Amino acid sequence: MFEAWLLSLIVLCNLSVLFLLAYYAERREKEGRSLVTNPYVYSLSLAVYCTSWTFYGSVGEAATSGLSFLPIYLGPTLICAVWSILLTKMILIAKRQRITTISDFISSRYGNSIALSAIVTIVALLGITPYLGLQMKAILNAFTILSGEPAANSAAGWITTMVLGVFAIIFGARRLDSSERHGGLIFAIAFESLVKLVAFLAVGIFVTFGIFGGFGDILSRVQASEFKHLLALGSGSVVTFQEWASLLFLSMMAVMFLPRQFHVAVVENSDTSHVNKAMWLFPIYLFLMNIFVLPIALGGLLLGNPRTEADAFILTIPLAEGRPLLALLVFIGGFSAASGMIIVESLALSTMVMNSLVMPAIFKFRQIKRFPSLILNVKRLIIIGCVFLGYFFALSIGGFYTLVQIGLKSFQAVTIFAPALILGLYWKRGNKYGAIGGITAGFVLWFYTLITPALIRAGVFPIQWLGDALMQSDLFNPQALFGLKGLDKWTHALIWGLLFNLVVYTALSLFTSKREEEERQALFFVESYEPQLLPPKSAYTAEQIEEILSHYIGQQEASEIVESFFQRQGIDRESPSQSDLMRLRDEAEGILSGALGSSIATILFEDKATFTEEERGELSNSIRLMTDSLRLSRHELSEANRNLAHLKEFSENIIESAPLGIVSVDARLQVTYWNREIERITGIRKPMALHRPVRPLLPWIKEESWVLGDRKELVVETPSFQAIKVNFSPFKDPSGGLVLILENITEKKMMEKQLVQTSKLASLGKLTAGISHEIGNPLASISSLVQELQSLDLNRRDDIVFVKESLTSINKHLGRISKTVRSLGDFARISSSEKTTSDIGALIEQTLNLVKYDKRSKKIEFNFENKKVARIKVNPDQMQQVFLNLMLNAVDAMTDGGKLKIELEDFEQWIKIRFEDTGCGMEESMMDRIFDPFFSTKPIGKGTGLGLSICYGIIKEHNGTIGVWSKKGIGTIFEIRLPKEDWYVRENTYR
Amino acid sequence: MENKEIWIFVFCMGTLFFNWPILGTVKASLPYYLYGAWACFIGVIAFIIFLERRRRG
Repeated sequence: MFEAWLLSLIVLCNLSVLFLLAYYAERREKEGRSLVTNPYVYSLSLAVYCTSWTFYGSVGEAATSGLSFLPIYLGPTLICAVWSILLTKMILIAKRQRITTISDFISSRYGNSIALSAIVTIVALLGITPYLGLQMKAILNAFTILSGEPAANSAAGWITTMVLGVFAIIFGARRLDSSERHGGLIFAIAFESLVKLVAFLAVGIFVTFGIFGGFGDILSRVQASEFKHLLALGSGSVVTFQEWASLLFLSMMAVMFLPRQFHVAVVENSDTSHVNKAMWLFPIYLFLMNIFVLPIALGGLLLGNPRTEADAFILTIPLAEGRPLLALLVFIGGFSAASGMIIVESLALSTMVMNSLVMPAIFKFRQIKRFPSLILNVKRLIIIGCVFLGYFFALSIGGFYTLVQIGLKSFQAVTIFAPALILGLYWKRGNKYGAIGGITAGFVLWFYTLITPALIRAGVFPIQWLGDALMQSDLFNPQALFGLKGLDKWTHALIWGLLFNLVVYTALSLFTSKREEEERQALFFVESYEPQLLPPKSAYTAEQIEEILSHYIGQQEASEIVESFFQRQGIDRESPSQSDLMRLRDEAEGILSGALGSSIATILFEDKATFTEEERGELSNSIRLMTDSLRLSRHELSEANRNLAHLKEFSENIIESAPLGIVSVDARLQVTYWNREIERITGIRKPMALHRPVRPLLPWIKEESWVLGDRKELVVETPSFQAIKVNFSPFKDPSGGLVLILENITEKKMMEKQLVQTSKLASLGKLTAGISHEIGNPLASISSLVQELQSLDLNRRDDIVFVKESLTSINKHLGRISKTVRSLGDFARISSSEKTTSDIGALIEQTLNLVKYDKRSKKIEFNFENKKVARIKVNPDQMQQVFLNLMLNAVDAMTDGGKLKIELEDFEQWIKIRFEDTGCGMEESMMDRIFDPFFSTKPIGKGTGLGLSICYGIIKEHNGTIGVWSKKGIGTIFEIRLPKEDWYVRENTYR
Repeated sequence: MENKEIWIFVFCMGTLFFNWPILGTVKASLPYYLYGAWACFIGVIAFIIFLERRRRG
């Protein structure tokens, strides 16, 4: 046991160390060597969340209700995942709007409404003050346990409360604050967070490994004991899953919206990038703080300590085990947890009360001489008032409820702000009436469902009979409202409170209109849009700004601030520009926001009538116009976005459905698009192709084809014998790249080949009569010679001579037959698709010989002068087919005889072949159609109409041209131009 | 997924893993599961922040 005076001295020393640390941190900050602006101090300061509730209450809760203490820390961990979205947005808004409290934040969102700010403050005050009392209760309990004297009712209770109040003033209201941020206080809070963590871990390690044999030992002993239900959730345990989920949600809201959490997380944040580190550092802190809760609680029970004293296990176990110094460390840790919360919470609450309730009331007295000292003293009184109100709660209701019960009521109270705050950040239509209505409805439900039953049970409900009647009512029972039974009280209160809050907020927002200022603020909060206005002509002078500042924070500090501003900006005080003065005014407004609240600070500077009435009107009109035009632009933009998305989807559908392989590559020849058909052609899936070099993916395209810059087309054959036509089209975009369109023409090629073959056979059919004559004549001669030879007497000398002559003649005739058959065989064989360097003159000669066999050709004079021309790369079979078709057509056109003149010549880059006949000719009107498939000028049954169409296809494939001139009764000329070989290779690309 | 969507996804997954019905399936080892999942969740947050920072260079 420790003497009471010793414990009081330790408390005082602890607070003094904190003060010295805060002082040192502030001095370092003034010197520009801040200890506070780093993510570690920021994360530790967030741990002000862990109060005496965590220190004592969690152990008590674990010993009585098992795992139900955990959601209070799991909830904040979960919400940390969205801090980079939610908290960062709140910080940016708070900084831009110079917001210092959560009531300021909510009222700013809804057009700086003082009424709304007052309502939020009253709700927070009523909801949070018992939570302050909870801290007092914890400190006094610990004091009683360690000293053995009942502290709560003794002078020690009053003195401790007073000391905490005074220290809260020293930290937060020793002068009228010239800034929204308190670097020294934050550093002290971060230090306290370390102290409480070390103390908790020390006692945890002692219990877990000193008394027991580790976590496994404790848990296995509990599993085998009567306390094993404490390790379960749901049916068969003390905690239902609904209660667990409600506690998770409540703690998520609490860690964001408790006034002290808002203060350290939003107002005291010096850099939004610190949030990213706090997102995992703060949860690690919570994890470490809770890792020994179960072992201490369950260990205490296993050691035989009564469950009713579970809140104090953390102190009583070390004392019972003869470790008074460890108990003293726990006391210091617990005191750090409680005092940190009391100081920050009372400071945050007093700022809310001051800015939202007191300042609007006393503002009309601002002209009195000692106004700055008046508001400073009022703020000090409010802090002391908050702390003593907490003490009052600790004395009056502290005995009825556990630490957790009181804490959760406060969590429920701040959850009332959630709809107005969160929806206010993401829904522009939410307005002041909705927020006031929603918060009021939420508060009424909170009071009715949670506080009324407590008052009735405590016997302090003003009308006892009414209380009893309510508790027995089916409809209005505060613990089973509208007959909703079977829920724990936290879930029950949360469901009704949130439901009414949301419904009223949404309904009023939808059915009432907003003021212009609300519109502007909604736009800023939801879309971070702020109209940038040019500085007005009539800005304040530096002297006027200093005068306003001095009126509220004192002459000396005002002069220092103005001087410091000019020095920092490197501006001559005698001749500042209008924009310099606007910046100074902004800074002054920010400083007064810290002391008086943003609403009042704004009013103070507006009070000097910077704008005339006319200017105000113009400004207001311009803002309205800007807002309207912005709304319209947004509407158009979203419409355009929708159309664009539709168009994109439509284009993608087309590309994906096309029976063509489509590939796009960037300037580095890496694949940027790969459609479904190309997957089919190559067998390579899209994810395997995207962002990879295209060349290895399409290896059958020659290397030289990948040279960027030209539009070109080529036909390639894949290793699987697919014929692919590849079209290269460079992007018009200066960043470069290509679109490749690949068409599988294997089937088309095959059909063309078949068609050529069919046409060839058809031509052969036409020649049959002539050919039979060509073969028949020599055969007849051979036959008669053979008959004569059979009748000879070989003993006669004359006959032997005749035999010799006859055999020579037969041999000649057989040679003629053999030549004819070979020509036919050569022509009739299946064409190859290969192109080879060929002599066009020789091809014409061969074809001409074939045509000459036809008996119809007897009346025709063929005139072909085989000039020496360049050899070119063609498919000889196909080319012969073309020549044959043209010659046979000429023969058909000259039934009564005529002349066919064939000319071959080098003509610039071409080889020109001209077939000129003196046949019947054609009508001019037929000229355009003669290359069409199935068009024929011959009588039905005489022609298929495919001959010239095939000729056209073959010549086209050889990159040549074919033209026709004809006149009825005069004759017809066909002219073919085939590119020379060297030119063909170079110019196969076209631009 | 965009950054915002990733965080919302992580939050939803966390909420799922720390609620019924998943908690209902864990029986005797519930404390181990809760603390283990808690540590994993913190690890996931830290890892995503690390990746994001590396992406931003």
